[in-house]
Amino acid sequence: MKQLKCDVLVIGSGAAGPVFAATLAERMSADVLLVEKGPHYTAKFFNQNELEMKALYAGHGARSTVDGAMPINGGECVGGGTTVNYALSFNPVAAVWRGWRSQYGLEGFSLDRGASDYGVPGLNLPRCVSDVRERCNVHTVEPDGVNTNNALFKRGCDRLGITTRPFDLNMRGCLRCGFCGQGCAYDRKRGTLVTFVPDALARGVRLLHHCSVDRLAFETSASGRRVIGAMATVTPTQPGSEPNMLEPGPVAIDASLVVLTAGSIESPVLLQRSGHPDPHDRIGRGLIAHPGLPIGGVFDEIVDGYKGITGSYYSDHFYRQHAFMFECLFAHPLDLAVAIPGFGIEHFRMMRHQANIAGFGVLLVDTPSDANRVRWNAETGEPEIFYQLSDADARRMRFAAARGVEVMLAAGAREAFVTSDEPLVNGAARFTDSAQAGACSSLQFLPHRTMMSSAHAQATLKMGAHPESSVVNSRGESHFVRNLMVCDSSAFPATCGVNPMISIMSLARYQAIRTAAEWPRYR
Amino acid sequence: VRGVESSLPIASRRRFLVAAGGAAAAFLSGYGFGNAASSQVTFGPLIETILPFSEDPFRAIGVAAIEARIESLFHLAAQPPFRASLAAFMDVATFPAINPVIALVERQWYPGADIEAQIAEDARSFAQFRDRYAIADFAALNSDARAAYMNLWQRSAFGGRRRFYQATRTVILAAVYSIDSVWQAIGYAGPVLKR
Repeated sequence: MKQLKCDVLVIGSGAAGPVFAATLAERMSADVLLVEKGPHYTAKFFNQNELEMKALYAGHGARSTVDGAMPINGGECVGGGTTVNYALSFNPVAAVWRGWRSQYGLEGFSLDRGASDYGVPGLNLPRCVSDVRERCNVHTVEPDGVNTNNALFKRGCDRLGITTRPFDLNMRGCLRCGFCGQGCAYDRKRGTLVTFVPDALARGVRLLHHCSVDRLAFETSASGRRVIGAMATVTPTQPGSEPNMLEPGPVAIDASLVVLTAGSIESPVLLQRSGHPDPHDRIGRGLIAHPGLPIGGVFDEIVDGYKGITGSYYSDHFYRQHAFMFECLFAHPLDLAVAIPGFGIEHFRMMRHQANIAGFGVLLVDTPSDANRVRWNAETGEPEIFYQLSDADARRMRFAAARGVEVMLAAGAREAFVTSDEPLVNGAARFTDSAQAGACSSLQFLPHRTMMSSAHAQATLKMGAHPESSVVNSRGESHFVRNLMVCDSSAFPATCGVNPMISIMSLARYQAIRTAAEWPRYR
Repeated sequence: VRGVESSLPIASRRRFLVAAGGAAAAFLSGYGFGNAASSQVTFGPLIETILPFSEDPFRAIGVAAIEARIESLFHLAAQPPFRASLAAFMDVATFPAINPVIALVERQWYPGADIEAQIAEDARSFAQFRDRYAIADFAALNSDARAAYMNLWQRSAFGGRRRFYQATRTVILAAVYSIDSVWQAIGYAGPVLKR
């Protein structure tokens, strides 16, 4: 078996891992190994083919809840979600982080730009946010980049007095091709693949991709349990990937510090299969999904929603009172065909007029429930994801769907629809008059009848002061195993409240700066 | 059937399509609820129900070519649970008899499931279907009856049946809405990146 040695092993190269690795290498001299389960694809691989580019997604786009009903999307390649997302960049919500400090007893994460947390000069959340935004070129979408789909969404909202805002996007010199979801073929989307990964490599971090970590290695002594590395398997390099640093086969990795950044599905599952202590049954519990419900509209005019910048506007009009947003996005034909309910000639009539279809989505900020969780299934070797909308969340989603239908009709759609075949109006979820929108109140969100999806899994290895209700402390350190840290979306104690990319990257930056300053803790 | 445009070598392309298909097949085969011995059934009648062959793009390609493309992408033949479920679907007369596997997974997925009520609900739907159409194997039904029977699965009280409907629909739609001629028929320009 091959052996690798490093000071710090970072597991997962999505939004968090590369930021952590690059920042640590910037702040101290350490031997850092960044491993990624998926391939290392780069722009030359991204051919904009919707079906082929499913290769960038976890489970090739088929990862879902255990009943197969709700896709739980995530990237599984170098860059992870930042390689396949729509570049929507929300700052961490100050009220949310303030709430985490009071409610879950978190230390640090000062929101004052002048603060020096843990005695580290300049360590605070806003500084980390600024660093990340600058490196990824986050800026507000230019007005001339707004496509017809977004213009219609804004028109519908304007007519109803619903406020909209332009998105911030992490892009530079966007060519407005409309294929963000298939990986940016032009390196204009500034995900970690083209920012923090090259930064890390330039500072000597080694990247091992096609590397599945089978389990962490623990050592028990009189002073307790600590992590000493991991057992992993390097799989054959997929065609189109960059070459790898090791041949396929098993590998044993020694490390002083192990940092989990594999996302809210894989990180908890790795702890479960490693036999990490879980006396209070917290690992994987309380999954936050941010369920999304698409709202469609059929227009007389040509929309071509997939062309141009996919997302320019969102609305947080209902956020404070009802905790949901509308976000304007669109799909290419494969995903669109699956989202449109039904079959036969009626389904094809919709597809034949796909150029006339507009769309946006409800993003519901869901409330935590212990029943929503991730669990490793030892028999299949796969994660099992359990998720159901609570009654209260379902009520808010019905309200949101009704408002969405009204927006679509106000924008001028001759018909609005929800991606559902539940019988709401004349046996379908289609609406031609805003007076019908109230019928959304009978939506049951039956699995496989109403199509929701998730792309923001969070909070499965929560930070908190108390081991009874959390898995890691404010430093991201396991309550039970020394020198083991979690600093991805799973460490959020609850929902971060918005599309999570910048929140995750800022958390990783923060923890890496602190780790470098506190390195003697991990020797 | 013309393949998807790609600058990548054919062998490479096949490898990641196979990988993508493997995942989709796993998605399909959450469980099997039919008789595996009778799993030698054709997918064609289902494809004919999901897609309207009265329309140009599908008529031009043909059922057999679409079935071959689905197989090349998703390897359903290598998925015994899926083939068994397909056989159960085709056997229209057995719809009211709830296989124990369907009830078992329903309880696993949805702890609050009321199996008895769900059985009764599906039996009621089937009775309405039986009042309108003569019962026969799915392949022998006319197109109206096929659509009505498909609706029974689409709207079943059991998540497992709805999953079969959605998974089947998904692989068929994925296989055709990734073909150039279908893109052209619906006015989708496809990749703008020419390499």
